[in-house]
Parts: sequence; structure tokens; C-alpha cells
Amino acid sequence: MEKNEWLSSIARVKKNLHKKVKQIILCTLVGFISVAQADIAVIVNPVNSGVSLKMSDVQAIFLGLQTKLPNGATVVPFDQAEGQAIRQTFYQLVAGKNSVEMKTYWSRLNFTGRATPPTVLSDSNAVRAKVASDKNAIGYVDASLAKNTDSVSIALLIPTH
Amino acid sequence: MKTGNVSKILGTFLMIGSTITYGFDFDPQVVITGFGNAGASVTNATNVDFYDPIFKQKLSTVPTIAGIGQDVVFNEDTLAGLQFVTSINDKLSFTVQFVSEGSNFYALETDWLFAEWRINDEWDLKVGRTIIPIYMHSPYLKVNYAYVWSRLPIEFYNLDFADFDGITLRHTWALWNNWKNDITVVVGNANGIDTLKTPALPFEVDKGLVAEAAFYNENTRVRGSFARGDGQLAFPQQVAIYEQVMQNPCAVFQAELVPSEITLVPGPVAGTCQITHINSPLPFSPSQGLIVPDFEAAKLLNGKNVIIELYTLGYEYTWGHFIGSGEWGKVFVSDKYQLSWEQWYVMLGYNWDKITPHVTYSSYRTQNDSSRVLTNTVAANYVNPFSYFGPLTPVPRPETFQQSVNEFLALNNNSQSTIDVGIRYDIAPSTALKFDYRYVMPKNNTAGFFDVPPGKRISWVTAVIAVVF
Repeated sequence: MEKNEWLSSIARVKKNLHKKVKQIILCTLVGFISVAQADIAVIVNPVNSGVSLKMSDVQAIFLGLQTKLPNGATVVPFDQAEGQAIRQTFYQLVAGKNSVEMKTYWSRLNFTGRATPPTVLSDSNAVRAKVASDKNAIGYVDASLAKNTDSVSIALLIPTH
Repeated sequence: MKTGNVSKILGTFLMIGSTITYGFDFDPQVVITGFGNAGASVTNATNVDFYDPIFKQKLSTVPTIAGIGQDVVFNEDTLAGLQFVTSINDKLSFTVQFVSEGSNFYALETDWLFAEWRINDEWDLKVGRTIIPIYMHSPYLKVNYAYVWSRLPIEFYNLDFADFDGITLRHTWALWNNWKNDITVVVGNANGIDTLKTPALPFEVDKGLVAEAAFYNENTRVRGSFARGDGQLAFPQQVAIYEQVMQNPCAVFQAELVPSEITLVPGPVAGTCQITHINSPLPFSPSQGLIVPDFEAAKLLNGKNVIIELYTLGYEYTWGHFIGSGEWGKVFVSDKYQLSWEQWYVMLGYNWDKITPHVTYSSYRTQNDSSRVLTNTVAANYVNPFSYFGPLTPVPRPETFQQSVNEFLALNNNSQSTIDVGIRYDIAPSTALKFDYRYVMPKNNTAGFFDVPPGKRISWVTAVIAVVF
């Protein structure tokens, strides 16, 4: 009997161990997927909360073709650093352009006086801080930084998958 | 418009604009950006300046188009630009752009100098110096990074009058989907002496007007423009000759000859001239020297009140990894001895990660318009003075004035096509390496832009590194 009980407890331990390993692997995978495909939130200052933007509005604002929100408020876009993956994903989704095409686009507008490119900030945290403190600012951040906070308002959520 | 007047206008404009719009709100911010390229070109053509076959000499006063030769040349493909934009507020800004070009001995020039009032998202007003949008890539002509070639197609981009001091007004319409429409009008005076680098006589533009209409979205742009420039031919001595001919019609031929070896006096018949002396070892009889003065020719030499008009269409698009662009243009010059010309190009490329190979076919062709040939109402026993200096004719040969005009027009006739195979490599988001090989084919038995012997072809390569910051 003792031997049977010992074998049973080993089997239970093995079963539990397998279960734990599976849970760890699953959580890691979910976490990985979440990081790779994080949605992008286009955020504005809370004074403009309630403003809902279309993709065409976001494109026009970040391509220097529009300086107003639908509510008539002046808006100043802020960009992220060129090395940030979110920047490449944002412009690919919003404007269908890669980083070189965006650089070419802005070189044509900037050096002909048509428009100046958005001011560049280091990352999503810097953009969120800027938008929270500047009533005219608009930027794009990792969606997780924009949810459950009153410091910024989400004007458009861009799914990345 | 002199620079001093431009400054006064700019200052007044800024003051009025800011007062009307925002009272005394003043929160200036300065953004400094720049661009540049360094490169080299070489060709196997032996003559790259304009070569006058009559006087057997290079006309140093005629500017070159490509500025290159059989030695590797760096100056023509090297320049740097620095731009300062001061934003007074979100409506008003002031822009100045300095450019130093190797083709201009690296002299520092002010290409852009204007105040801008963004009235709203639809209306935009600029006052000051701008580069006029004659062609699709004209506004950013010197920003090499902004286009795929190491040099823009020379059959199309061969005009030099680009800086205007004046007013630019633009209106933008939002159309369906993401399409927009811009209408831009520029009116002003040319900045200094701007000459056309064309095979015809150089042309100084004094004042002009450009109107452009463009339809575009994030992937496609289609545009058309009309430009008109008023000016005169660029040879100052010819203007002086016109003044002389009013007093002495015979002087027009004497002054035109180089070296001047013929003495002309009024002839026995009113309105005619006669050669009385020629300093030449060739046999000559004064009775053969009856020349009809031509006031129409004097008008040519005067070259005043010449009008140039340009009509252009252009497109560019991105379709997946494919890129394409093309332009067509027609140029008319009112001067009777200037030929109009037609030019176009088509480019197709493929963007493969950081590499963009492309191929371009471009064409330039003057229109030999026989209706421009002058008729002379006076019976012609006209002797072409130039024939005295030809190596084959020991005695003056009778020649109608018509034939002389045809000969002159033939000098200005020029046709050329080029096949350009190039590649652009974006080694970083702000830096591009470019290389172009061009195969140049003069057409219609003309010399082309590189004074190529009939039937010959030449090759021309350019390598450039371009940056923006």
C-alpha cells in the first residue's frame, strides 16, 4: 500500500508539474504576443476629450496637411524617435509609408516651406507626458499607456493585428 | 523687386498679420534643418560647352547645361543648404534658406527668404523669395535626397530661372476620400539675372507668373502648370547694337562680325548698305557688297520684350513596391529666332527594402518652325558676311537672307534623348547613395547638349551621396 501511495503521489506531482509548465509557457506566449502586436492609441489632451478622429484625420495631421481637430481646436503633432518600432508601424498603418518614404516626404515639404515635420520625442512615455501637459498636443503611444488614465484622452485606437 | 523693398514688405506684412490675428502674441520658435549632397560626374564626350561652328570657338558667355567633361568633376554635384524657420505663432512664420553650390563657386546664396501667413488649413500666403513651381520637382530642385535620381533628367530640368521675389498664394481643397487639390499662383520678379541653359540664346527673365494645379493623395500626385516670363536676350552687346542701328542701319552687320573686318556705309539706294572695305587676303569687289539692312534682324539683336511660356503636365505614384513618375512640357519663346521646344520623361522604379533601381527615358526636341523665318520685302542681293570667313569660299557667294536665317535657326536646333539606368540605396533614413549611368543619343543630326558629332552617342555617369538633417 505504501508503495502504491508513493507512486500515486509521484504521479500527482508530475501531473501538477506538467500543468505548471504549461501555464508558464502559455503565459510567456501570451505576453510575447501582447508585446509584438500592441495597439496604437492616438491621444490628445483631456481638454479635447470627446473628440473622435478618423484615420484620414490622423493621416492629414501627421502629414502636415491639417492643423485642426474636428472641434476646431488647433493641434500640434508630436512624433517618436526614428528607431522606435511603434513609429514605423504607425506610419505604415496611417500613411502606407516606411521610414525612408516618410523622410523623403518631409524633405519635400520642409525645404519648400509647405510644412515642418512634427517635433520628435524619445518614446511613448515622453509623448504621453507632452500631450498631458500641452492642450494643443497630439501624439501616438502604446495603447496600454493611454488606457485607465485621465491624463490623456484617446481620439483613435489603431489595431495592429 | 530689390531686396530692400522685399524686407520692407516682409516687415509690414508680419506686423499687420500678427496684429490682426493674434494681437501681440509673440512666442517665436526656431527650427534649423539642412540638406546636402556630394558627388561626381564624368562623360566620354569631348565638348560639353556650346561650340559655335561659324566662329570656331567656344562661346564662354553661354552657360553649360551639364557642366561636366572627360575629367571627373565634383562641383556640379556638390552643394549644401541650411534652413531656418522662425515660427512667430501657429499662423505666422519666417523662412530663410541658404545654399552654397559647387557650380557657383560655393558662393552663399539666399534661395528662400519669405514670410508666410497660414490663414487657415485652406489658404496660405507667402511674400518674399521662393523657387517657383515650374516643374513637378522644381520647388525642391536642390534637395537631392528628395528624388530618386542623382540628377534630375536634364532634357527636362534645364531651365535656370528659379528664384522669384514676389507673392505666392495657395488654396487647398479637400476632395473625396483622401484626395486634395492645390491651386498655387506665383507672381514676381526674377532674382538677379536668371538665364535659360538652353541651346538657344540665353534669356534673361525680368518678371513672371506661374500657376500650378495639383491633385494628390498619399500615393499619387498629378499636376499641371503654366508659366510665363517676360525678359530679354542676355547678350548685352546685342542690346547696344540695336541702339546703334537706329542711327546707322549698316552698323548692325559690322558690329556682329568677329573680328570686325568689314566697313559698311550707306549704299547708293536708300535703305541699303555697301561694303567699302574688307581686311582680308581674299579677292573682293566693292560692287558685290550691296547689302540690305534688316531691321527685323536688329530686333533680334535687341532682344527686348521677349516672352517665354511653358506648359507642363506631370505625375508620380507609388503602387505597392513600384514607383513611377513622368512629365511633359512645351516651351514657346516669342523671339523670332528662338525655337520652341518639347520635352518629356518617364521613370519606373521598384523599391526593394533599402534599394530602389530605376530606369528613365527622357527626350528634348526643338521645333524647327519655318513660319518664324522672316521675309524681306526689299529685293535681296544679300551677301552673307559670314561667308567671307568660311574656309571653302574664296569669293563672296550670293545668298538670300532667308538662307541666312535658316542657317541661324539650324544652329539653335537641338534634339536629344537619354536612357538613364540608376539605383538608389538608402543606407540610413536620412542618407542615400545614388548612381546613374546615362546613354545620351543626339537626334535629327544635331549636336545635343554635349556637342556630339553627328551619329555619335556618349555615356555619362554620376555618383552622389545625399543627406537631410
